[in-house]
Formats: sequence, structure tokens, C-alpha cells
Amino acid sequence: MKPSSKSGLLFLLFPAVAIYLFAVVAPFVGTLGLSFFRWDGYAKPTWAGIDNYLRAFKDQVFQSTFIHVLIYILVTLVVEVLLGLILAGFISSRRNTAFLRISLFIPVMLPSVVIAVLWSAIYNPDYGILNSILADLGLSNMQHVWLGDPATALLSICLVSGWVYSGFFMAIFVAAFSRLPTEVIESASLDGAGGYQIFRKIKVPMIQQSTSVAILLCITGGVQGFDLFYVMTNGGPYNTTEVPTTYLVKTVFANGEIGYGSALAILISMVGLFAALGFRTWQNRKQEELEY
Amino acid sequence: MKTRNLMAILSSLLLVTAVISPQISSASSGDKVLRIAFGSNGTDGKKIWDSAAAQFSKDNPGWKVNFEIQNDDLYETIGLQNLLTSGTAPDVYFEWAGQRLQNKLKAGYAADITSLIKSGGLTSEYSPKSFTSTTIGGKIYMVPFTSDVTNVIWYNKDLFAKYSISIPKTWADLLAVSAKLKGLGITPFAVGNKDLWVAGNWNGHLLSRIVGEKSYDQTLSTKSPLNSPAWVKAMGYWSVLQKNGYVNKSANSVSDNQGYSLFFTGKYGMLPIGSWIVAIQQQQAPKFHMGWFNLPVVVGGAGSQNSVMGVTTGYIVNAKSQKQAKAIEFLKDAFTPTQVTAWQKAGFTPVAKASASGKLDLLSQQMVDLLQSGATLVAPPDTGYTLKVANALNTATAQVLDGFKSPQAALDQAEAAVKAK
Amino acid sequence: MRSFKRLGSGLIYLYALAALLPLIWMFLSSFKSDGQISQNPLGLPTHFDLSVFKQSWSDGGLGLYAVNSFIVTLVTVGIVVFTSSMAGFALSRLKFTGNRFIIGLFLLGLLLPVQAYFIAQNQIFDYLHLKDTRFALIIPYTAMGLPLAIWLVKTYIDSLPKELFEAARIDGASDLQTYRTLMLPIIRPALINVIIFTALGAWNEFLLALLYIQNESLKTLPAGLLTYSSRYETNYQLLFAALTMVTLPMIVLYIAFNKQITRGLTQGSLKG
Repeated sequence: MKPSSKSGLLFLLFPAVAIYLFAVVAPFVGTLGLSFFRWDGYAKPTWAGIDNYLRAFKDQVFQSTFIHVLIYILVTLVVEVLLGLILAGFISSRRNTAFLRISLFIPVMLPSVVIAVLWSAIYNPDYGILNSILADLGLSNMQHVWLGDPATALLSICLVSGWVYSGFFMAIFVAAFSRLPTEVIESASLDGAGGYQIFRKIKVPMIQQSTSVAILLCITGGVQGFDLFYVMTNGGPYNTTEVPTTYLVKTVFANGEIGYGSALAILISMVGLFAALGFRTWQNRKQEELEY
Repeated sequence: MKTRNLMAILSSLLLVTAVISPQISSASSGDKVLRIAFGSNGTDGKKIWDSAAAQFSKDNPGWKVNFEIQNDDLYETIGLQNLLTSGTAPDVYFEWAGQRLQNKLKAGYAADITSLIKSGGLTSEYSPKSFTSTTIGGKIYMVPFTSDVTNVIWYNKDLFAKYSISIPKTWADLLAVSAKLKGLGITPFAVGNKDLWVAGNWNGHLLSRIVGEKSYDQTLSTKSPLNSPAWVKAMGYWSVLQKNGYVNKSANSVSDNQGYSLFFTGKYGMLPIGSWIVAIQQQQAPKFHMGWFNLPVVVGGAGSQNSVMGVTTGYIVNAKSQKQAKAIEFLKDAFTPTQVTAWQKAGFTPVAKASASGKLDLLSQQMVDLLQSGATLVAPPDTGYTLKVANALNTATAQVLDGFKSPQAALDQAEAAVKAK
Repeated sequence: MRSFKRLGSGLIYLYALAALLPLIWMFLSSFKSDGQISQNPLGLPTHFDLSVFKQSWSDGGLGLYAVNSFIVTLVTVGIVVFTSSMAGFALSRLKFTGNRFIIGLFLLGLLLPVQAYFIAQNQIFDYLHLKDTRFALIIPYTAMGLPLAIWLVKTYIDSLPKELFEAARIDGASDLQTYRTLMLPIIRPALINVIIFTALGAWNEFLLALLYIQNESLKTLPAGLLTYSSRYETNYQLLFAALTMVTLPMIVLYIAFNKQITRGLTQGSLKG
């Protein structure tokens, strides 16, 4: 319906839009502007044109960050979404699951700093419990410098993320399963279908919408991932766990290259946006195919 | 609960917190507050600052001193930058001599205090040579605080005595000592290199001994490439440590603090670090016996073989401050002979003169003597040169330390990073 | 079949226990001395001395950090609830040019990472002398919470029958009156979700808290914890005690309100 009064409309909209423009849109435009300059934060900025962007395309470390983030997204898709789905499958067909649901969800509530510090201690090569447990189990040769060895560092961080968010996705899927019409499931089991078959052939396809939202969240969360990487390894050792966001923060604050960092920021946002939109379009296209 | 009540409670809470939250501060040039900024100095250090502040307030009724103490790592990177460009910029702030001081000068944040320190009576607290590292173009821009030796090799005295290990005189001797320790099941070196500067400083010093101070300075000032054949060859010395497994495998993932802790467990032979370890050892492991030796001679090296890696720290008066004279007065209160003795007791190695009764502990005194021995001073990569180059070189050092890259590949990558425009 | 199900149950419970292990270890380690922690990481503590918590609390100034986090979160949530409900209502029910544009603008905010704009935001806040004040966090947190909040409110209102509003309009109510008397009570479920999501986001936010506030007395929990952990890095006992003290209240809160929280979080992401 049309607004009752112009002033009323303004009053309703203004606060939210104003704050948003001031704190998000304007800075984003500002960052875009800064990306065309060279600036160290103290002296005067100098015009750089598209030099920063050209440099980003040649920057091998920057390119490697996207590979790391891709690995991160793929691993978390398995350890968070897939595992969450399986856990939800088990839980939704049982009673008295309060303990399970609550305990697996707790990590989601905790500040990422706590998680990062805790797991850094767990992964500590000399004092952490991971290496100690391996030793106690007689598997000393599997001990590693988890966060210091380029071969294990990235995966170690991915697993921490999985520890946190598998419970989150599990909760999403449990809720989705609970909304499914019980008649379909009951009739299938009467027809002799086993639990696993019901899960795979009926339940999962029926919550397809939730699954795609989950995958989307995983992708966008992955590109934006920062806290764990920053606190646990800060992109180390020597850039092998560097993700776009940590590299960006490093460029701006450790190297003092504000212009270049801004260009990186814009590029990262573009990638994230395209990834999300691309996924959505692919989803919609798949949806259309199904409907034919 | 009814939504209306929910809203009422929320809005009144909002009002209350808006009132009790600190207000946005306005420009501070007219008030009677002196602002000092630095990274943490520990509780003992804070006491000394507080007593200087008390003295200053006594001599200047109505004036207060505000300390802005930040986390070290943040201060060095964005903390100080934020402070300087904010509305409550400090009047005095901590910095390292060398490139960082030059940067501040270029950006207009370092005041020329040559005449102020004379008229303010500060010069009487120092010996005349103290200001050499803080003088640029004949003008003084920084009041010296401490002289730190950035890197020597500390060793576990008990361990060395137990196995009759004598102090190595040459780099080859050092390798031999390491081999002996390794054979006994002891990891020769404990290094916490997560932030890249611990090993970076150690290798930097080694490199300067091999290629010579001039090449070191030129290359780090980007006048000469990092991956020149001479440098690649020099990096080969460093890679020997990795090839023989002389450094703890976790070096690149544990922080500097953790590296010290490892050394204090007694299971490691040596720790390459600076003079500040003395205060830390007194606090954390008072019963631990450690000695030190400077980086051993590299036979055939082009540099001065008894060079010392060190840096002077100090306090810069903000050129944009309106209270420069007051700032100098405060610093004078902080570095009187009595205060300097207190600084020494707190584990620092101050440049200003101590009182007659002042005496540094043995190890700290040895550090100071080393610095004043007249040996060539080599600047650490991250304070003597731009961060971009320092990071590139330190990254290469870390990569070779792990055996992740060969010296050639590591230095190639470093040079590419430096050249990136 | 039965035994397969039993095996599955067993595995899941084992997994849940393993997932809780890190937290349990953290809690138990606060009672062990540093020596015990490093030499015998898996061992059980011998004494249960609660004084370590007191020491960790006072040494670290955790109380101060918690208060700051609380204030910032409370104010942020308050502002978001009001502004998002108003905007969500307007965007959902009122036709005007630019409606779709504004919706799109906010939707973009869901996809934009904070890293995309914090650089310029940092400069702007510097210039306006906002740094080292609580507003340096409240303003960005509000702006960052608005996209999701507006989306939650809007989709909820979208699902309400339009006759409701037309009736109010026929009765002569202006938009503001409709908002106040009709809307607010009805969208309570959506508002609860907004509160949960916004509070969670503001409480746990780390990057801006680290960058914008250097003043110790104003730091929030995540930034303060980081400072604390690097200072006491090698004093594991104190570190674990601090982590435990920060975690325990959250866990208790979560268990108490677990129904609402999970319902809100999962419903929120399922719609649309």
C-alpha cells in the first residue's frame, strides 16, 4: 500500500538507512577510492591509477590465498554441511536427543578468540593434548607440528572450524527434518524401507532448500573467514595458511600499504559476491530443470 | 513479556548506557594533560612512569599525565598510527631509532628537540655521545631510552658445564657444538619464530657478517638485489642449521614467549635472542643459569667479525604537539639518575646516566658494555629498514629454516616481493 | 537393523563426547599447575583450587572487558531492534520508488565482508575522533547487524496477511501509528530472532574490536582476551582459567535458553 505520509515513511526508514550508509556504504565507496592511490597512512597519498590492481593480479601470495580459501570451503562443506546432515539424520529419528543437540551446538556460541586460543593449545607440539594422546596411543610417529608444518596447518584450522559449525548446520537440518510431513516417511517405512534409505532417498531431497542455504552460508562464510586464521597462525607459516582476509589485514597494518590493501579488499568482495550470486543462479537453474 | 514493555525496557536501558558511556572526545590541545604513548613496560616499569608523572604534576600544578599503554605488537603496527592521527594524539611516544624514526620525521611527527633538551636540562642526564643514533642531519629528534642488544646467543650454563662444552669462537665451532648436543639427544637451539623476527634477526646478523655491513645496508635499502649470488651463498650458511636439524621443529609456529619457555625447560642448549631476556629470566626462571656469547666469527666473512646487532629506543616528541617544552620536562623527570637506577633494577638497559649507587646486574652490564665496546653496530632488519623489505627477508629466513625452500628460491621470492610496485 | 541403529547411537554419543573433550580439558587444566599441564596433559588435576580463577579475573581485568562487551552489545541490540523493525515494516508494506533498491542495498550487506570497508571506515573514524570510544564499535556493529535484522523482520511481515494492514489503514491509522500499535506486538518472534543474532554477532566480533579500541579500559572481551592470552601465553593455568570463566556463563546461558536460541537461529536461516 502507499505510504500514509511522506514524513512517516522517512521517519521509518531514515535511521536504518542513515547508519548503514554512514558505516557500510560510504566506507565501501571510500575503500574503492583509496584503491587507486598509494598511501602509507602518514604522508600524502599519491595517485596510482590501476597499478594496485595490476599488482594484485601478479601477486602470487594473493593468488595462493584464494586456493587456500577454496580448500577451506571444500573441507568445511564436508565437515560442516555433510557431517551436519548425517548427524541431523541420526538425531531426527531418535528421542531424548537434548544432550546431543546441546553439546554439539555449544561451540557455536563461543567467541572465536576463545576457540582459537584453546585449539592453539591443543595443537601445541610440546604441551598440547593432541600430540600427547597420539603418544599415549603408541602413535608417536603421527605427531606433528600441527600449526607449523605447511602440510598440516591449513587442514588443522579447517577441522577447528568443523568442530564449531558442524553443530550449527546439524541444528538447521534437524529443524528442517522436523518440518517434513510425517505421512511420507511413515508410508515409506511401512513399505519396508530402512532408516538409511529413508534418509537418503526421501528426507535429504525434501530439504533441498535448506541444503542450498547451508551451502551458500558455507561459501560466504568461507570467503569471509578471518578470526581463526588470524589468531592461530596469522597466515603462517610463511603464508601457507594465508587467506584473503588475513593477507589484506597484513598488507594494511603490518606493511602500511593502504592503497594496495584497498584494492585487495575490493577484489575480495567481488569474488565473494560472484561466488554467492553464481551459486544462486546455478541453484535457480537446477530448480527450473527439476520443474520440467 | 509484552512487546511494549520490552520496548520500554530497551529504550530506557539505551538511554542510561548512552549517558554513562564516555563521550566523544574533542580536540585536546588546550587542556592541561600530557599524553605519553608506548607498548607495555611491565609493572615495574609502570611504577617508574607513575613516579615521574607525580613529580611532573607537583612541579606543574593543574597538569596531569596520561599514559596510553598498548599491546606491543599492535603498537608497532597500527596502534601508534591510529593514535597519531586521532584527536587525542600523544605528545610523547616510544619509537626505535633508525628507519622508524626517519619515517616519523618524514611524516611530520618528530619534533626537533635540539635546543629544547639543552634549555630543559635534559642533556645533563646523558653523556654527549648518547644522542648519536637519534641525531639526523645535525638535529636531535629523539630522547634515548634504552640501548638493546638485539641478538646474541644465550646458552644453558649447566648443560654446557655438564658436557664440558666450551664457548665456540667460530661459526664452525658453533656447528660442532650443535652436533655434539644433538648427539646427546638435546636440541641445540630453541627458537620461537611465529612472528618472523627472532630467526630474522639472528640470520640478519649472520648475513651481515658474511657479506659485510655495506652489502647488508645496501641490499636492505633496496639498492642491491636480495637474491644476488653472494647473498644466496650467504643464506647457504643458514640452511646448514636446518639440514642438520639443529633448531626445534616447531620454530615457525611458536611465539617468541613460547621459545623462551622452551629454553628455560633446560632441554635446549641455546637461545638466540636479545638483551631483554635477562629481565624475563629473572622473573620466569630465577634459578636458571645462563651465559651468552656474541655471534661467533665467520672465518672469511667480509663483515666486521665482532659486530653487534643492536638498536636504540627512545621517545619522540610529537612535532604537532603544543606542549613540547612540557614534554621534555616530563622526560627529564623520568630519567633522573635515581630513576635510571630504578630502570636498571627493572631489567632495562637505559642510556641515561645512573646514580652512583646504581649497578646493573652482571648480565645486563655485560650487554651494555658490549654495545659501548665500539664494535660496529648492525641494525635489525625490522627497525633499521622498511617493513616491506624486512618482512620479505624474514619470510625467506623462515622458509629456509624449515627447509621449505632452498636459499635461492626463498631469496628469489623475497626479491620479487620487494620489487612489487 | 536394531544393532545397526544401536551402533549408530553409540558412535554419535562417542562423537559428542569427543567434541566436548577440548572444553572439558580446558576446564580441568585450570586446576593444574603449569608443570602438571606440560608434563602430564591428559592427567586429572590433583587439587581443586578455586583461587586461580580469582587471580586470573583480577590480573586480566576480565571483569572490565565483560562489562564493555555487555554495554556495546546492549546498545547495539537496542538500536538494531528499533531501526530494523521500522525499516522492515516500511520496506515490506509500503510501496514507494526506491523500495527495491534499498532492499537490494541491504541484501548486499549480507554478502559484503567487513574487510571490504573497514579500511576507509578506519580513516573516517580517525577523522571524526571516534576511535577509542564505545561508538567506534556500536556504530559499525549496528550497521553490520542491520541487513540480517531487516531481512528477518521483512520476511516475517511479508508472511502476514495484508488485510491486517489494510484494516488499520481504513481505520485511519497513519503508518507510524500502525507501526507502534499493530506491528510491534505482532512481530515479536522475529524481534527475538533479531536480538539473538545481533547479540551474538556484536558479542563475538573481533576484528574491529581489536582495531578501533586501544584503550585498556574500553576493550571488549574478544580483544581483551587476545591481549591477555599473549601476555600470559606461557602461564597456561591462568590462561585456561580465563578461558573457562569466559566460556562457562555462555554455556549456562545457552542451556537455559536453548529452545529459543536454536529455534530462532534455524528458523531465521530457513525462511526464503
